[in-house]
Amino acid sequence: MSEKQKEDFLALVAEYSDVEAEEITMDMRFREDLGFNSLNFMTFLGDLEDVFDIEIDADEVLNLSTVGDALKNAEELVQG
Amino acid sequence: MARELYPLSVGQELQYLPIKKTGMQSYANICVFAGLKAPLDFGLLKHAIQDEIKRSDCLRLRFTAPDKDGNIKQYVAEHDGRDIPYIDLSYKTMEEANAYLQELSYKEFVGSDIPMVEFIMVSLPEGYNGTYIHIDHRLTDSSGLIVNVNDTMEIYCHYRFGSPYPAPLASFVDVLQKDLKKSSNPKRQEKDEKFWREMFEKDGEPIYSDVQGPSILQESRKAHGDKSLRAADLEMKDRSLGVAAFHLEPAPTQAMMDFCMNHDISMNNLILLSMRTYLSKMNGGQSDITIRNYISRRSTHAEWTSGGSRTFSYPCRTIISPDTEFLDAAYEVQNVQNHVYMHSNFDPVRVDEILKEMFPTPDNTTYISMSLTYQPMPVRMQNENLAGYELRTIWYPKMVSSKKIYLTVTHSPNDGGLIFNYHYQKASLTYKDIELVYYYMMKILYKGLAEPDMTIGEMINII
Repeated sequence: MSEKQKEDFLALVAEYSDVEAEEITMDMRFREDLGFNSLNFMTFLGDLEDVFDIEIDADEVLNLSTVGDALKNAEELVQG
Repeated sequence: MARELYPLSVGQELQYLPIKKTGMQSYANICVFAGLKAPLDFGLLKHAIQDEIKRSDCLRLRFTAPDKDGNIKQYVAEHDGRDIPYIDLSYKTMEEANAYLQELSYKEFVGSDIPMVEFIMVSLPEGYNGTYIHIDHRLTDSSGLIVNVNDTMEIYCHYRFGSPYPAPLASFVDVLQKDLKKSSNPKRQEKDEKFWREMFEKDGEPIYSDVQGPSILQESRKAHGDKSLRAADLEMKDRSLGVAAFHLEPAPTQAMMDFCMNHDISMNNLILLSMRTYLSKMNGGQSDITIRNYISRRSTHAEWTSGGSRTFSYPCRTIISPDTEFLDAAYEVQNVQNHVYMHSNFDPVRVDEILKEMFPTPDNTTYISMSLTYQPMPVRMQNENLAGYELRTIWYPKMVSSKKIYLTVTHSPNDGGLIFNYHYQKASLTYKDIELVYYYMMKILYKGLAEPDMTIGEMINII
């Protein structure tokens, strides 16, 4: 995933959270640190699919807890 | 300067559909009184409301006249400097005052290129003062309206007490454009359509369940001469609406919230579970239950404060075996809902069309008797200068309901309890019936919270 794509990823996370994109770190947890609920998280995943043109298996990602986990998952899907 | 015209979003089209069909704008009215048991400076309140109209683009939305196909476009008027009237209803009884405002809520916004919202400052009996808002649903929904009410009171507190002026609200047009982009993305549409088709393929045709038991489906089977019919007739003649509201005290509400927190279950899904368990009980333990669930679709900051009609509803279908423990059943509901959330930009009308294509049923039949909206954000008026004053929010219902039972659950702004507000069709249900629905839903919740490892089958037998 390019630097630009990482920036886009963090900007998308920030849209759903009170934390600015530049303050988001990989170990932050969606629910506890960024205030996501299940609706936010699942719609975020839908947006992620559209932005990166990937297909996410909802069953596989339901238990992702940190920003780093989600980024890694997106990177793997982008690289195909 | 030429005004910028935009098409309606899918959410707005949903609200426009009944207007287009019937020509009656009042189908899309939302009306609320929000106020405090406190004296208010109405001069400052007027100033705050006028500021809010400037700050919140959606309050200045207008619609063009329909074209030859009945379609309309929208634009944001640059300026709306209307006066805000005041009416004193304090000399009436509360019942009379409510009847007066209820009557206003039937009023139509007639014509094109006109404001689609009216604000009236009101004094009610018993010392309540506040604002009555009558707005077209295409401009906003109840969540968006609550944001406007809270924001207006923050502005009021700025003028009245010198507290900080609230942060700007998000642009309606920016969010609209994102929504329009999503809804015209063919890949997104394809994925969403595939999701729903696969869900119905996997589980087959849904089956109707009713709080009045299986006799309702049996009657439809008889009427259509089809013993295997799985959908029941909708009430088409008399859709007059009854209202039954119940207040759940703060202690059991807190127990529900603790349960949700401890088990990572959302309140929405816990309530859905209580509804589906009751329907299962009333239908001989039927394991396949479908409820219509409303989703506010406000996830990003911009979506929260931009207004707009963002509420979509989808079927929440769960097939839960009687051996399933209460907690596991809650996770099953949550799992279904999580998958639906990922596809929650999809046009709900299209979901109904897919169902109909896959399982052709007679016109005006349905698989669903109960609908739910859970509204997590109350009218709060959080400013410290308003602390200690009792809040009052009164939503004025429409005259008719297309749904047999439509439950809205909100948090009380005063004591932290929950308010269960049922709208029901009086043609087939009475207040007593709804009281029973509430009673059993509470029994199910209390039992499930106390014994989360009890199976759904056991619960249905003992409650």
